Amino acid sequence: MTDVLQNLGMGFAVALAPVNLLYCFVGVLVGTVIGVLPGIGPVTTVAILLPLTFGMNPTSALIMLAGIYYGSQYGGSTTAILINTPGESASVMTTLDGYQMARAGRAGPALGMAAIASFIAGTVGVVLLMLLARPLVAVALSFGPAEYFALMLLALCTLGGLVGESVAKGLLTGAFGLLLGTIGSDPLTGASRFTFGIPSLLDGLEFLPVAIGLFAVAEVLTTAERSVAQQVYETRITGLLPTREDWRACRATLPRASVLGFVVGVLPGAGSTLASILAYLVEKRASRHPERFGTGVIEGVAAPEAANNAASAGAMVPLLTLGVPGSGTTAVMLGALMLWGLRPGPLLFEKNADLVWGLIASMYLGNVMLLVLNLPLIGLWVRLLRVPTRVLLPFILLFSFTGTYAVSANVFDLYVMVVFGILGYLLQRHGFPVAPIVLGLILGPMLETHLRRALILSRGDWSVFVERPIAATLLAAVVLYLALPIALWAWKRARRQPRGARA
Amino acid sequence: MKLDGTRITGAVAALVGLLAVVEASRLAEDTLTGGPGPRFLPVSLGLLVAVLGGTIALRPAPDRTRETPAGAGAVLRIGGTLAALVLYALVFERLGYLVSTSAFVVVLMAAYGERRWPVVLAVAIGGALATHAVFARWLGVPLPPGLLGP
Repeated sequence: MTDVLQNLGMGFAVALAPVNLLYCFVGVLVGTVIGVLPGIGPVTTVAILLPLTFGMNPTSALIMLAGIYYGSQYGGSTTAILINTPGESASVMTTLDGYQMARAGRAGPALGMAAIASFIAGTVGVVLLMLLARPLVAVALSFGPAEYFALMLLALCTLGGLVGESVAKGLLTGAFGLLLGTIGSDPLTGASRFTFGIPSLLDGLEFLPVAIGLFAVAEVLTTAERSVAQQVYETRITGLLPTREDWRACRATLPRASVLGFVVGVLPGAGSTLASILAYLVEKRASRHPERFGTGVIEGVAAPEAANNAASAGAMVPLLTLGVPGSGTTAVMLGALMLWGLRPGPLLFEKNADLVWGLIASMYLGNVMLLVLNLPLIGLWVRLLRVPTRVLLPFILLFSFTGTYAVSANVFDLYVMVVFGILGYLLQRHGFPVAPIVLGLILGPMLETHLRRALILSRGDWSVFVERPIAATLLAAVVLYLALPIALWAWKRARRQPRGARA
Repeated sequence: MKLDGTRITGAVAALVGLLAVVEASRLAEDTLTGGPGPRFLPVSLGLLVAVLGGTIALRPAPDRTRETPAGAGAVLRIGGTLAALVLYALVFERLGYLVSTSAFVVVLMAAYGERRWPVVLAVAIGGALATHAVFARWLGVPLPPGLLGP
């Protein structure tokens, strides 16, 4: 315990340095703005702003990117409550009761509770992250290539299975991402694969143009297709502080949703959106008046908002301790760490302790900043909703282009970005998730290296994956995960059959 | 069997997977150290993509994806965005950052229905200059000077 406190002390020394405080503030501010603006989510923002951080030291940059990530979870609730439109997907559940509260004239307490729930959950999440990180690092240090291979496979399968409409679609895009990851020189023998004589492909596909294309450009195309008109909502917000009854109603909700959100966030592939949905459903089940959910109860706002913030702290656990991201946003952050030449994984805690603990401490500070920032400035955020989409969209594309070009001043990257932008738009249009592609592209080379190293060590004997207990457990989870939907499908079919025969 | 966007996407993915298998089959398989070589993963993944794509293409029932027919306005916005993206990438280095970027923003704003031309021009030129300042001055990115350059 004392070394945790000692490390945390060191972390605060790093995070309280004026330059890091500034970047933390900029991060949470930008994150809140992004969360408020509909149609542009945290992963898009982290991707297009990543090139801006190349000139910074990695610690400051990571502090800022993390601030954008959890800041956007705060901002997303504002539009959910006021105009019934989630600023980003993790606030979907907040619209159910939040908007009803706003219609009943209680927008103020809804916004206030959203901010306070986010603050409490964010802080709980950071404490849990801190306590869980050390033991996990200790376990991770014993991991060999077989374990890492199994872990990455599990992360890809769960992400692919959870974000899409169907498991097959998510797995398809995940496998496609891995396939894209094999482009370039083979990591072990140097043989060139799928390069088609294009020199820019020898080092593989750059991840940033792909990520910016799939997230930012595709999102702009999707928004442009829907409509660029938007409604402006006029409302007067009075009294942001929840009443005593509100507090009493959320007494059990806040800790429950915080812990649940954190646990879901830690799981690879399950991000803050799933966390908020689960928290809402759990709260409804635990409630003494479940029928009132959806009519504007305060627990219906507190639960998803607490859960999605705790989840973004939870998502940092696999990223920092294992180097395996669990979501689109953390995948982009992993790419960022690698661009700076850092090797994410258990050794990060030893070799870059100041970076890791500085980041953790900055998340405490960032949560305080968000609370201070959000309660008095909500009126300003509401006005921000009036930025016309026809101005916003060109600027997202402008930043996408310039940011992509900034990576290596290579026009080829621009073509890659445009191609993946169009691809991402078409895929999303037909219900195929794109985050697994980015995760696959980033994990692909690592996954292949671990797979082949494990088999070199075992002299080609595949039983190495079942003889090592941790690897075997992880792979069993993969098999279970893939078999479950098929079994469910077969079961449903078997049940439907007799009824169909009768008709 | 109804041909919908999901099935077409699945079929295209299956084709891509098969092409990857064909292309990767030319690679060497064995390494001196034992274990799979550079061919193993691309071929397996190509097969996996082909099988999953095929499954989706031949699935019994189409799912409920929102495939609303796009209206004239949507076609203009999507078409305008696509044209602007491709053209911008093509002329980015030739015309230089400031000229191509201003033109890019003008085309996009027009496609999205902004008709107040002084506003369009102000936003376009202002945006180009501002992002140029951030990236070229502050971050030191070598943006192409093009027509306006030395």
